[in-house]
Amino acid sequence: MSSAVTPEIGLSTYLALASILFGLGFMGVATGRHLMRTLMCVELMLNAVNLALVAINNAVNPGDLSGQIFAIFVLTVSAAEAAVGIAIVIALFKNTGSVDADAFQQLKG
Amino acid sequence: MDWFIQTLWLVPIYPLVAFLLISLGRALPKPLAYDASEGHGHVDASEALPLLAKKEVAFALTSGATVLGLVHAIASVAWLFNQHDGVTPIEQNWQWLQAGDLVLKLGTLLDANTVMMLFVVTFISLFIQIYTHGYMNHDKGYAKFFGYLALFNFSMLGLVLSSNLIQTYMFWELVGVSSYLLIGFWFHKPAAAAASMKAFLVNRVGDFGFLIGILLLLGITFTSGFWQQYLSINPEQALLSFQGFMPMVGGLAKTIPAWLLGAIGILVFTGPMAKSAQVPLHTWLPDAMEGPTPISALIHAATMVAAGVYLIARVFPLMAASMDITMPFITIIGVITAIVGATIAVTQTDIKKALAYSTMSQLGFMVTAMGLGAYTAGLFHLFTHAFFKAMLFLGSGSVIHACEGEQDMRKMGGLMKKLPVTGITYLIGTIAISGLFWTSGFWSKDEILAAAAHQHPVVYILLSATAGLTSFYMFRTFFLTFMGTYRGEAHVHKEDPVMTAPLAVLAVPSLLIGVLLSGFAFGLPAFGHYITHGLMSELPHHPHSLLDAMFNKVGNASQMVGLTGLVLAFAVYGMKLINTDTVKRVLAWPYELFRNKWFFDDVYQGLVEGGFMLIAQMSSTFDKVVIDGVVNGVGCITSGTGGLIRRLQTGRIQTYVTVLGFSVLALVVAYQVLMVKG
Repeated sequence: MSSAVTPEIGLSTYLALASILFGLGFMGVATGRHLMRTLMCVELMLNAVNLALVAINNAVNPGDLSGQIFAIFVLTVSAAEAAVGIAIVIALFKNTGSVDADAFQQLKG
Repeated sequence: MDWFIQTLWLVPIYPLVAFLLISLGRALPKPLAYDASEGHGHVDASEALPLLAKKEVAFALTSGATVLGLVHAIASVAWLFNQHDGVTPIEQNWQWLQAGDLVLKLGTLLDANTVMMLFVVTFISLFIQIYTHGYMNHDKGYAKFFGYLALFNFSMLGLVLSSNLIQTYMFWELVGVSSYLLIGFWFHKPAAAAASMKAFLVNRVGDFGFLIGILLLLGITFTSGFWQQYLSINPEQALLSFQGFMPMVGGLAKTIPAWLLGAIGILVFTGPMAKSAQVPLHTWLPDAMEGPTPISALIHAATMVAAGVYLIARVFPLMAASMDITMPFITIIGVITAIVGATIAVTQTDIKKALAYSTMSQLGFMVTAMGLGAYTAGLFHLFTHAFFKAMLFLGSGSVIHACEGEQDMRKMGGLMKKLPVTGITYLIGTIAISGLFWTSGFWSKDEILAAAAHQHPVVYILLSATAGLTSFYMFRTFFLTFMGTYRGEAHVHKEDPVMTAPLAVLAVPSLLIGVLLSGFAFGLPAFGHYITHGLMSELPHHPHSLLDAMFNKVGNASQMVGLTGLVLAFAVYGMKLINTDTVKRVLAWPYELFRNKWFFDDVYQGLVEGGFMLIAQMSSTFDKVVIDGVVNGVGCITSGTGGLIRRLQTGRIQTYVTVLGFSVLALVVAYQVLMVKG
């Protein structure tokens, strides 16, 4: 047995990674001005959630695959979301010539 | 004969049919020829009318119905005279509606009261209709007028024949409606339209009290279970039937407190107060003189206004059961009315107004008699008064007709030569109402005075003084109108025989009916003989012969007072020994009071105007401050809050996301903290 102990990659590690990814995504959405970056950050947040789902499912109830299946669904929906989102951004750009989130404040109360 | 008694329910039906047929005639389309000829003085204009719309047909229908009614009335008089051993009333009822134990019935009740009123209404109606034929001959609304007369007869006869209070109330309202229609017959005159409205509204006040009284009575008898008890006595009786009044009131007096019984009596009495023009609900009667004169004679002197007295007689056990509350109340109201009416009559210059106040005063006499318990005396006076007052009004109508519509007595005078029949009958009526020389008024008024003298000296003195005043103001109208020299400008027409014939006919009962029914003439029974039977016998003096009755103490005194009034009127208005202007100056204060009708109208005007304005002002303020305040306040708060909150809506996605994210975070943290602690 080698003395070098390979640390077990536990649930907390996965969750920590997911949290970091989610935080990065959130930061990007909250502060970013470019709409494409906003969309990408949303994708990042979704994938962070996927990671958390799969990790928790694996750790809590390995025999059951519902977490994995849920992650597949999220992927599907996020693909659709990305398609729609990009289409909107392109339409906005075509109409206004801008992809800056700060340029779209018509709903200001 | 029996048939006429058994089919008494037909009596109101005849005029109803006449009314419906005349209304139908008026609703039929008029041919073009009629419209074209109208206003061009075309003689044959009415030829083109459909049969039902013709004047002659309207007259024939209405008076025919009245004649049929009169036949029934005469048959009932004969029936009454055949009831030697006390009157056994005949009652017929038909079920009208039923709700649980409550059964309402319509029916007829024939007893001495009914016979008397039935005869008065049909007899006087008939002669007034004949008179109307002359009076309204040139009026465009001739057919309509006769239709309304038939409607009135239907209502009045239905009221007279009612067997219970509920039915009475229905017909009570119907006579009010016909009175309204007839007062406002010439509604294009603003005064007539206003007078009809006033009559209706003032009567509403009284009718409302009356209705509450009836409902109270109904509620108490029904809920106390007393009703079932009573039903078992006579299951055929209708609810609140007049026949059942004696046992009902007897039972009530034991079960409910005296004040409640008195309150019911007074509430029921408010109906007669309005209908019979008692103070303070009398103000409509003088104004009602805006209606055509035959109406004043028929409705507002002889029949409808007497319905109040008739009703008191009907529910007399109820009134008499409250000797300490209702009866004194009725007496006081009656005496006040008699005095107020007579004093105002002295100052009136309009001949019809003077007669109207005289009617009011006489009704006060009748009501006082009722209040004193002198039940027959009141009814007797109602009976005789109906004849002579109808005649006096018709006489005034004849004068007005002859003087081209002039009603002011200051512009009359010396009309005796031009209008001899009118003048003589008017004199007869004046003597009768003054109670002089053993005319009919003497006998009836004497009975009231005798009852007052027997019971209450103060009431007796007040009534005697009023009787003297009656004589004074009636002879005043006579002297002003028929004696002296003519002071008017209008050309005086000759009398119309169609109008003088009813006057002559009515003069006979005005002179003789009193003595005939005094109980000492031709073996005829005394008026009170049947009326009082089984109820109460309250005659204070029992004369033994006609002479004895003619010269009793009370009678002599009242004749003296009446003669004084006559002499005074003669001195002032006949011989002009006393200048009226001087009197007006010396007695300025009372004169102004009487001339202004005791300020009743002004007080009401002030009360209604002031009161309503006050309430309106308060409502307006409430509306503006409270209601508007709440509504506007809600609006202000909403828009203010909105103005504050709208700043949160920045339109920037980043802001929303940040708020959302940190909110979720806050929730999670809060959840954790709470779960850990909890």
